[in-house]
Amino acid sequence: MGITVIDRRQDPQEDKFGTDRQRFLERYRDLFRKAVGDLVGEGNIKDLVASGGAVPIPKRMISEPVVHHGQGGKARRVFPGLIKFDVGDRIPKPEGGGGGRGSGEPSADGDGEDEYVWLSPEELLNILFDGRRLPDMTKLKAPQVKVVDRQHAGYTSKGPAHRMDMDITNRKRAGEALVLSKMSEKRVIDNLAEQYNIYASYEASVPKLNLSDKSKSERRNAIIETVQSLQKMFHSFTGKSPDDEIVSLLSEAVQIILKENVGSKIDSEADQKRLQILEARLIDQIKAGRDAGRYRPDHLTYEYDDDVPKPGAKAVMFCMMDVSYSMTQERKNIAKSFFFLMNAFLTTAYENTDVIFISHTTKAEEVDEKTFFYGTETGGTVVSTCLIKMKEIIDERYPPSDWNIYGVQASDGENSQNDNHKVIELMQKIMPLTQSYYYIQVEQPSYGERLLPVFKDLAEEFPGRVYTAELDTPADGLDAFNHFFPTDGSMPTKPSFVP
Amino acid sequence: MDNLPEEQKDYYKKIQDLLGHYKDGWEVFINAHKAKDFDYPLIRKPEFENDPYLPSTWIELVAVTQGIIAKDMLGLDFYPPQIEIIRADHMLDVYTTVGLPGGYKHWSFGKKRMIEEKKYDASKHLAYEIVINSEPCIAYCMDTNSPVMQMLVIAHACYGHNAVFKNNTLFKEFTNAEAILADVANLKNFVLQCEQKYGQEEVSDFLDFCHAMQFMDIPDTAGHRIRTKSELKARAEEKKRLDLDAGSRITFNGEAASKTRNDNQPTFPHRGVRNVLGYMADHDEYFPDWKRTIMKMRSELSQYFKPQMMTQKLNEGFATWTHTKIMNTMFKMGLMDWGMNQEFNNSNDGVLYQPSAIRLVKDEEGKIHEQFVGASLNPYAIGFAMYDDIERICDNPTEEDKLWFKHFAGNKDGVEMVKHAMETTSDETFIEQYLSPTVMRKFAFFEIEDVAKKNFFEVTSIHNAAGFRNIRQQLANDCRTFDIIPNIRVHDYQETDRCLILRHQMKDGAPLEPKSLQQILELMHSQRGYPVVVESVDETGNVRETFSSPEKYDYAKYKRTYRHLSP
Repeated sequence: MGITVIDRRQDPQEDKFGTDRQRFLERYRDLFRKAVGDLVGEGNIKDLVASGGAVPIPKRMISEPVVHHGQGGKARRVFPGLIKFDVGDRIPKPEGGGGGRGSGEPSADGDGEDEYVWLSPEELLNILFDGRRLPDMTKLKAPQVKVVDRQHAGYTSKGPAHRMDMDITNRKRAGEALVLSKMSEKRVIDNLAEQYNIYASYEASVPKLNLSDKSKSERRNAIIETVQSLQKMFHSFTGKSPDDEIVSLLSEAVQIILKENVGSKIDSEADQKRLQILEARLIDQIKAGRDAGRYRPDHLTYEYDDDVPKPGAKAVMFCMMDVSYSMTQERKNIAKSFFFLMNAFLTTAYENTDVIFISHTTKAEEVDEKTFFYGTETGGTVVSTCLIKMKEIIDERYPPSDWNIYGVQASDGENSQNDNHKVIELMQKIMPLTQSYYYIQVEQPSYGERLLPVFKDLAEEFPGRVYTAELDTPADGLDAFNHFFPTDGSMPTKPSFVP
Repeated sequence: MDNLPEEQKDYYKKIQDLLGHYKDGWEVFINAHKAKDFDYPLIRKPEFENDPYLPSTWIELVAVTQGIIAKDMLGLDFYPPQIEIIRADHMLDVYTTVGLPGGYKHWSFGKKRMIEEKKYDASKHLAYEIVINSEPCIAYCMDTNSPVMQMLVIAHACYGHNAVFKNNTLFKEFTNAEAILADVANLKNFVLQCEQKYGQEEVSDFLDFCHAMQFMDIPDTAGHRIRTKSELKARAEEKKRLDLDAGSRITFNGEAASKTRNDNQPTFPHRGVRNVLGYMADHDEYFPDWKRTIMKMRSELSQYFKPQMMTQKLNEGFATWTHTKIMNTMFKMGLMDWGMNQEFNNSNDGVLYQPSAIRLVKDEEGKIHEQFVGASLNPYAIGFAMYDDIERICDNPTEEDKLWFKHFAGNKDGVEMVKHAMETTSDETFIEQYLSPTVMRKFAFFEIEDVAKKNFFEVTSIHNAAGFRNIRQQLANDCRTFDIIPNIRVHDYQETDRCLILRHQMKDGAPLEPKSLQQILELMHSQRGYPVVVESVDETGNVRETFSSPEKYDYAKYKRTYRHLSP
């Protein structure tokens, strides 16, 4: 019977590249965009960047139609498990009409339930920013390089002991041992057989030894046979039995028995010379076989590190936003997309990233993420207060010698003229401490003094450090981000972004 | 021969021979059970170490041992089995691809996979095995099954289901086990080529349409079977003899057929074709060739699933009967100990559990009363009970059995009768021919009438002598899968507006579900470019409801003309 058993436990999945899933996400991109927009609106920025999230998708939107019967009509059906009832009795129907004629695919009926789809961070970003090419976060360079880090850059044959790569070293040794140990025995036997045949050509009674085209066990048998007949012929028993190693058996037969008895008969000079060479080579060949499993200096492999410039290990991002009544939820969400990306970028660029949220009206305070995006407060707008708060926090907790400091400020651009002067003064104090500062304007202000020109002036004063952006939709956040961080690592062409 | 003691029978000796090659010998299965490890290493006696024909893994040894029992004791005939040990995520793959690995890429599989994953996360429950009707017969077994479970599953899938696949007449007629995996691979490659030529979106949209035609793409008769010339000639003569023209042969009701004949009107030659997708592929003029090819291939795949839809109870019942026989034999032979037998019985009882449709409930006052909960019939339970009862009727019939099953009661050849029942029936005929009063009483069957407008069910028959016939007939009717899925057939084609008219034959007044039907019609319209209409017709031949794409399309104002297509 041809029974086959296949162990597929180590095999990959059927859809190993996730093509079907990608196509599914692609097909319902609009649905997913809306759901992801809500998710990013509600969710915690840090968690989403780290592990993705689940988005609800209405079942009826993604159901595939299958032809089936609806409710209605008259039907007879048989059920098991009768208790008590008799013909003609009436049984009340259960609620929800179960037991009626349900047929076809139940999932085809659009009930109100939602399916939840878990999206990875990459899928999330991809959908959120509408398939536009995301910047290659790892290739982007932070504006100012501070620390030089050593990174793995290859392997060398010399180095300190603690950098030795045992895995590769051992692999080299094992590979060589495999070849040497397999080949050495054969080489030794070939060598001895050749010596044997030279002796045999001078003594007619000694049988020839032919080992070519024979399998391992056949060779063994042939050698044992020949050696035994040799021992009988010269009555020379050396105490070795056929169970001993074949090499030692043959070498004794050649080097002791034949050399003593036949050695003197050799008169050809060429044969004598050949024998000398073979004997000398034999010692090396046996030694090579014996040493097959040992480490040699040229197996040793060490890891090699090189200097790679790397941004400092720690970064803090100050998110500052005007939460006065003029900032609607919609405007906040636009700003959130930029905060989200900035955080995702800093997480890939630095080992540790802190995020500080400062909301302000006429006074500023440090808040948690939820309050920052959903808290509602009324009051006017004094932008300088949040800069004062930022300066305080930097002085208290984040010494610029240890931390890379980034500031992102979102506003609808309203501020009083008096305060604008104050902002300029404060910024001149803060900028020497920070890496860079981004000002995001989410709406053109309808009245009041404008803040944008102030930051544009500052951008000229601190070239490459202060940036401004005007955003209309969450997707503009991505464009602005791409503008500020060109993937080739060059400096942005303009310090301001307009969609 | 049959009177020989167990030890002298052929299969016993063969197994003794086989296990003699191993160090564990007769105890090998028991030791594996104790080790709780189906990877249990097999150690051969030194003299057999290099024999390449001996099973080298425990699973293979189980399969070979059970194969000997299945073949020599039960006399089963089956395809060579191929066991594949898989992980949970592979099993989800099998769910997603409906058991046919290596299919084409489509977004709906991504969705299905996501839904299956979610279900699995919630319940953590997966099937122990899934078996495919192919040659070799592929059985996917989970790697988490315990050794006893693995033995049960192999007996169930590799010998039970496998024997049904090879011997049941429906499977023989409708499926081609050798070619199915190649067919799937062909379709995959063809879809891939089309995607490269015509763009992924175009092909994907077209496949949406093909998927929506599910249940409307199954032919009434097997098309793939190659008929010889003499067969074709005999069929033509038979047709002539019965004097059936193409139209009346396949109309829904005699009345309509005679009417058309009286009016002396030419009939539409493809009227009554159930395989709507196949009809469109063959005769609709508005499809490019690549679409026709995909439609035909899809239709062939649907045909492959047809016997499985028609033989659920028969199939699961026979597989359960087979594994019970094999496992009991192994226990009797001493290959399993009491502990293993206990584990086997526990899982078998779980498989055979039949919930009741009526449950006793305590109300707020502490009074107990009956409540209808509507349990569906467990195919394993009913199938197994019926096969078991056939065997009992053969060996040990009661007076009642002699009355109902005159042709085989007491013939002392139970196993042969069980195999005969499995080979020659579908679910419907299986119940019609072999459901005995004993089984009916055991399941306490009752029949109810469900009228949509009323808020109660009326009991029309119960499990007594008077109700037996009714219940048996109704249970058989419940198994008519092709009445339960809507009966929609090609009816007509109007040359004037190129409208395709389909007919839905209503049964018991059940209407079509309009929402998804409308979606399907729109998909059909968008693909063929011209309107599609479905008429719902009741038993008397009156059109009760029409659905059309575009909605409310007045197709009647175009005069109906029947096309004359060369047959």
